[in-house]
Amino acid sequence: MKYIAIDIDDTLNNFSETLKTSEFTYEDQDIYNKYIAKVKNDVIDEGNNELMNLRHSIHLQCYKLAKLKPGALDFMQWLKYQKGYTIVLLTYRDLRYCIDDTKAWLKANRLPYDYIFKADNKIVFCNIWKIPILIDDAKVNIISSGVDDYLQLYYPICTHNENFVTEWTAYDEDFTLGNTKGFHNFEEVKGWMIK
Amino acid sequence: MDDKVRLLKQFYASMDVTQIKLEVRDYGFSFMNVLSRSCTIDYSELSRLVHKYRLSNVPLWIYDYLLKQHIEGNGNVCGYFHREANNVFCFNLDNSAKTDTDSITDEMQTTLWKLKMNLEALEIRPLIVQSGRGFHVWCRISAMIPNEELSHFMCSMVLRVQDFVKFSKLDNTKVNIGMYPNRNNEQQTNSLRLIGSTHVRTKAFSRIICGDDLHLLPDADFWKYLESHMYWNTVTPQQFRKSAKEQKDRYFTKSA
Repeated sequence: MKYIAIDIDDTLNNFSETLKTSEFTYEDQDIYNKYIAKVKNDVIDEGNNELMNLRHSIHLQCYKLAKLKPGALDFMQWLKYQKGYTIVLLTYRDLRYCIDDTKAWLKANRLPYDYIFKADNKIVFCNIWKIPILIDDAKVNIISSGVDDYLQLYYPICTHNENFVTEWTAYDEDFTLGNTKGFHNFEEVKGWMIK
Repeated sequence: MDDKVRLLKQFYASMDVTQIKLEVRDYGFSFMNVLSRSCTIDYSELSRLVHKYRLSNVPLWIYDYLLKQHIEGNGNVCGYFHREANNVFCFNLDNSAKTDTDSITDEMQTTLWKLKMNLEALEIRPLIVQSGRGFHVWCRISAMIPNEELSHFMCSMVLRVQDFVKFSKLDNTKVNIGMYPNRNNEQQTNSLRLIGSTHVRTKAFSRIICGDDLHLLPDADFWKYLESHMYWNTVTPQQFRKSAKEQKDRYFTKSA
């Protein structure tokens, strides 16, 4: 069996763009007005319940509104039906609150998958579950994957990570991307996987 | 059926037996295949090296089997409350922010003490289980009560406790008090770990806190204590409603 783990937000969909550009609703307009800019800029403050509750609510709305990235459907169908991969969707979403909406979105977009997982540490997850390929946009995974011989990480180049490798290399001289590769479209990933 | 399984099922009589969250160290695609032969895996999680599987369409024989595994310490079963009415309700006391210490904070201790005192003053004697640096405070009724009623009672109780903590010159925002079940017909998104097992991560057995001095019950006495607690401290629906009315009249109704 061949296994692959794929992130949802900002990998298969345009979550960050939707977050920045969409209008949302919230029961308390004052709190909404006070914190919406922070939520849109992905500010996290665990000690601020008002901010974190608003963030939670906006993210739930965003999961439903986000649009599939170009080429994602074709790529997922290619993985599943032509290459025979078992697909694990691997997310940071708190699935307790959004599993139904997540599944509905996947169904509406006809995305094939086998399992949905939430993992706090995706690199550790892939190692434990012996999944050799991860597609994910998070900076923390880009840093970690470079030192991992087992895991092949492909990351979509997005606004929040496009300059990251350059900045991180300046900060940490020993940093190496290893096998990790950034991509602009799924056709590039297909090409790498065929090789 | 195993006596301990029977006792747990009796305690949690209203819980949804078709949906659970299973916390185990077992993992792998073959394990998932075995699980999915008998129930639906809605989603899975890996958190602090514990694998969690939310299962639905669980047949009763699988539920009983997993409860037995839970009791034998081979994993933890977390239960979901019934959507409309329940015979148990629970206050989940948790630190609202990460703290550097593993000890119980003053705010937590005061919150627990006051919650226990308030409940007992209304003739509801809870079962208190330590959970990490917080507590689960379980109350049991002999029949199912609509979630709306339970929720109203719990909200009022939480307000009273938080007021007291603030009055004691402590920060009442440092302790989150979760209330289970949610209001009537709301989706019950959160599960709670059932008692009577060894925690899959910490390896600690369910730590019952009892007595006026809030001391820790020895593990060996757990099952006997649970049986006795259920016998003596399960309140009738009439008593619950009397307590709820007393709380409302005494603390939430303005005098003329």
